Amino acid sequence: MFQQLDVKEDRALFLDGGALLFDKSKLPAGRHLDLAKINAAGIVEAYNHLGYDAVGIAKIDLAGGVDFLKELQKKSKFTWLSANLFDLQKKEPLFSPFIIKKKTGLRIAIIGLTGSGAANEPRERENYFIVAWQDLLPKFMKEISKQADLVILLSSLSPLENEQISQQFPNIHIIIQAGMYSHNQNPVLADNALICQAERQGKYIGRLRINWKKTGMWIDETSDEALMKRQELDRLTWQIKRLEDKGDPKIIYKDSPATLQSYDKLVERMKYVEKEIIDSQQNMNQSPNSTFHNTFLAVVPTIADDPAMEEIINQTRKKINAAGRSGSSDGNTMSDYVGSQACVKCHKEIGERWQRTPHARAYETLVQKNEQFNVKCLPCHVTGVSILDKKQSAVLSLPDSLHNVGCETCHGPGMAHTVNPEEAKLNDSPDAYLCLQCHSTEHDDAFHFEQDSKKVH
Amino acid sequence: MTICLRLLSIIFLLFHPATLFAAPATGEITLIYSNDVHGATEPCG
Repeated sequence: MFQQLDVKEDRALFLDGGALLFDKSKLPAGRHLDLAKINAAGIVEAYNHLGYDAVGIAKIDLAGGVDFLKELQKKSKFTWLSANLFDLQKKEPLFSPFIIKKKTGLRIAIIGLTGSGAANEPRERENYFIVAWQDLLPKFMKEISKQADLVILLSSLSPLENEQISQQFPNIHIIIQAGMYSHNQNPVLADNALICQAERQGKYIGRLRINWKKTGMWIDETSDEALMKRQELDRLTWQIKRLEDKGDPKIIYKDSPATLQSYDKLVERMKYVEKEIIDSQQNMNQSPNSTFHNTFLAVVPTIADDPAMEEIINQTRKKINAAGRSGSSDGNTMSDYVGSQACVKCHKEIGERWQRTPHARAYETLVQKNEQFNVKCLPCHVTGVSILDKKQSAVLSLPDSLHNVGCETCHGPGMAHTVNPEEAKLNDSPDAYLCLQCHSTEHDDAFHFEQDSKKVH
Repeated sequence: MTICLRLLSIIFLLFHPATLFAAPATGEITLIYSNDVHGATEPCG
């Protein structure tokens, strides 16, 4: 891991701003919650392996309940931080407010603040409440300032609140922000705080190299030229990631020399721009103020798999699949859906073309990854259940005939049409909205409806 | 007298501002950060 990130272990700190464990703030009791908890435990194990030092607690991390997070805390080698999440009965912090780490002679304080969510959301829940940061932070900063050279805040507060904090507390030097933006945000200097945020869902991680000086102040690197170089670097990184998404470009595009040449040029240009940024950084090192250099690293399949991490992911998948399997039953025919084999009897040619597409093997891809009972994945790999469907437990009880992305996924349930084809017509031109439910940016950020819809059959 | 003076000088040095408020350290570190993972491991299929 340290080799891949090009960092030295004794000089590195691994931090997460928050919103780590769950994708929904409310999970109804039952299978969904159980599977989400298994997934959350797997993520904690992964973070232990990666060597994370601290993770901020966002409100969404409490979707499994405070007690569940407390249980995870016992298994965590890193510290969960929140200075303002309080026990409702005891009126005291539920988790550690801050920690101090020592690296290369620097004393680094890391403090966590939990955001209260949308304005109309209550600060108080069954067994916890969120104290306003204004009431607590002055006291903690007084204590921390005596003990630390560098102070980092892990915050799931709103961007406006983070800016207010940077104005009031010039001795908070870095804010890692969780919540508002979906894309990478280059560090922005707000008063004396660098506000940083990486893209969500683990698609990128940020690497901030810091040369910390005695003044405790940052050099202002937000000049137009410096900004343009960083923007170019981000653009190049994104373009390269797009090409590396499906695997090693030298293999994937070996029959496309023009694409391969473009890829090589992009990599060359990226190295050049990185060097320019580093060189200008070195010039700034003459300044008495602290300097930084930020890069976003794309988490792509071409990064070599770590065997131990692979094992953690496989074990988590097995547990999720086993839990989902326990809720499955023998398939009962969905009353309105007949399965693609019924359609192919009349629509033979189209059916044969469809058989050769990934849609026809969609369920199989889950079986290969041991995820065919994962209710989070299934709706986009079967026919007859929408991801918008609240009762997703039905997806575990589908017959084999609906185990793929079949004709009826796009054209609608076919039972009536098989009985009376002339009267009961189906939708022959599904629109982009239907496809985008599954081919969302989360799962398929290269999807283009106009081009890709032609590949369906 | 000598012992007293020595003791006084030691006490003075211990409580001198330069000792009490030692200059902040400097150093190079790398911060690896992430946020909003939201339970994602890798996309399905």
